[in-house]
Amino acid sequence: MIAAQGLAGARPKTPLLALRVMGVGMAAFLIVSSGLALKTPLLLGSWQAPHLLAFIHLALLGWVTILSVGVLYQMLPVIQQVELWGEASGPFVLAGLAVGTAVLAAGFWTFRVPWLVAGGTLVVAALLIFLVTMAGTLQRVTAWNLKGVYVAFALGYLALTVILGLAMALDFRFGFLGPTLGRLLVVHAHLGVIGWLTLLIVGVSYQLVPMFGLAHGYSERPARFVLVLLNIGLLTLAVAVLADTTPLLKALAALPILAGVALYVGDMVRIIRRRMRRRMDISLRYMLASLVYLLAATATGVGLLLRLPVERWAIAYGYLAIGGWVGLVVIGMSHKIVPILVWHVRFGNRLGLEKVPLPNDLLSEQLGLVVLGLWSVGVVGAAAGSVLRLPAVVQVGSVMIALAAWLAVYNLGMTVVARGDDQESGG
Amino acid sequence: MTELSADGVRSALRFVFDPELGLNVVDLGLIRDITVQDGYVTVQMTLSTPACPLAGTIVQGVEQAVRALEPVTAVDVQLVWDPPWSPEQISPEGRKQLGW
Repeated sequence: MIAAQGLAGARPKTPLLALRVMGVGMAAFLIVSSGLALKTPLLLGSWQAPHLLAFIHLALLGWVTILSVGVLYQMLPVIQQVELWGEASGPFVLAGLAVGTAVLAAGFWTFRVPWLVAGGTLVVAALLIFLVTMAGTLQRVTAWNLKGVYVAFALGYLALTVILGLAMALDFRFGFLGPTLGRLLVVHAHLGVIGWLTLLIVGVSYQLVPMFGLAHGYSERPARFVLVLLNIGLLTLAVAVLADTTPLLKALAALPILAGVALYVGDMVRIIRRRMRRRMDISLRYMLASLVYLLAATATGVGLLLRLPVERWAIAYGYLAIGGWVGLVVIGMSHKIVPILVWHVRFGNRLGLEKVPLPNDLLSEQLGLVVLGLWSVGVVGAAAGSVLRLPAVVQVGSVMIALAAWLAVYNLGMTVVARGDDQESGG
Repeated sequence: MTELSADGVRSALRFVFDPELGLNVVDLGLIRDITVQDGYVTVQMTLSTPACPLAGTIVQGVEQAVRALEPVTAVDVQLVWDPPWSPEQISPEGRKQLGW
């Protein structure tokens, strides 16, 4: 008999679904990274070019958002200690999001407005089901914690982002947005990357980084300020962009974001330094590297508001924010989460009965570090080449990124067959 | 038939690892109390955080490890949260393994 009081929701119930989510996400990851390496002239043109928008949506929806949705099905119950509500929605959300993103990306690639609208509608419908599932789960919360509040805000921004995206797709057909379309596109991008993804990553990192590093006894106050600063900054930035104010006012409107990011980076470094587990986990190494890109991306964003030439810097900004910050966190967390999910399926039931490997034993940490190096340098190369208008540098950077992606997927895929018995084992 | 003791159960639990940390549940300081009476074993344990994603797996591992012992007839694994776990509860051996 097992009496597991206080354990509500704290079990990975759907590891097989989560692994399917990982499979879809990794496929999009490979398509984007390889596609960009084959189409590098795109990285020397406009950031609003339809082909580039196809890649951006495939990356942010097909890779990052699909994985984030999968993570939240597992993590929200863990973060808030509640049972997941509407668990059966998972396969529908995954299917709708995968097909919708593919149609949307194809719509951008061929610039067929009906495909954009159809794909966008499917994405919104799938995410609506997901948001209802998350809202139903959050409704069960009796004692909110800060991480849960972060997730709730992130979910709200996700809703705003996709609704705005669908409105813009419909505008291609009906033309009701007029000259505000360009400004709305900027707001849409920032709601997605800062409101949805950054708030989610920040909130989940406050849950996972102390857990993976065994860090205890740190103050939660900075995390509260970060949440407030990022929310205020996003709101003021959106207003300033929509009102098309002066560059200086726009930059001032973004200052709370800069302050929030600086505070977050300092706080994360402090927590990682306080860890009891001295050996630094691979996911923490990725996290530390991603923080450098977060700072660089934020500074570049403020620079763009202050009139850095958009045609030279916008794509570099995207590389630093999406590839450097979001990308490194997602790849790093994948190196942590995939082995645990696979381990749970392959060995979870045998713990305590026989000798089983540890999740970390299923993965090559050395290869993970090679991926970290290749990806990090590749992002800098692609961004710098785009700013300096050097096609050869963009090409080398893009190939490094693609190579890193294939090596990462190989490493993660090998966890399914790895014996993992050549290292320390337990059980 | 050999007599089972709390120490015997504790020794068996040294082979149940927290999969994420790679440290056994005894040295990690998760086992709070063990009572053995007529083959009925009660284990009171905690987790490093109530939000541990592998909580169910670890608890099941403890239950399976104890059930495999002779002459256990029943196992009751109880999770307790008060006082909460803190790193000070890690054994000297565990600290060494974590690189302290």
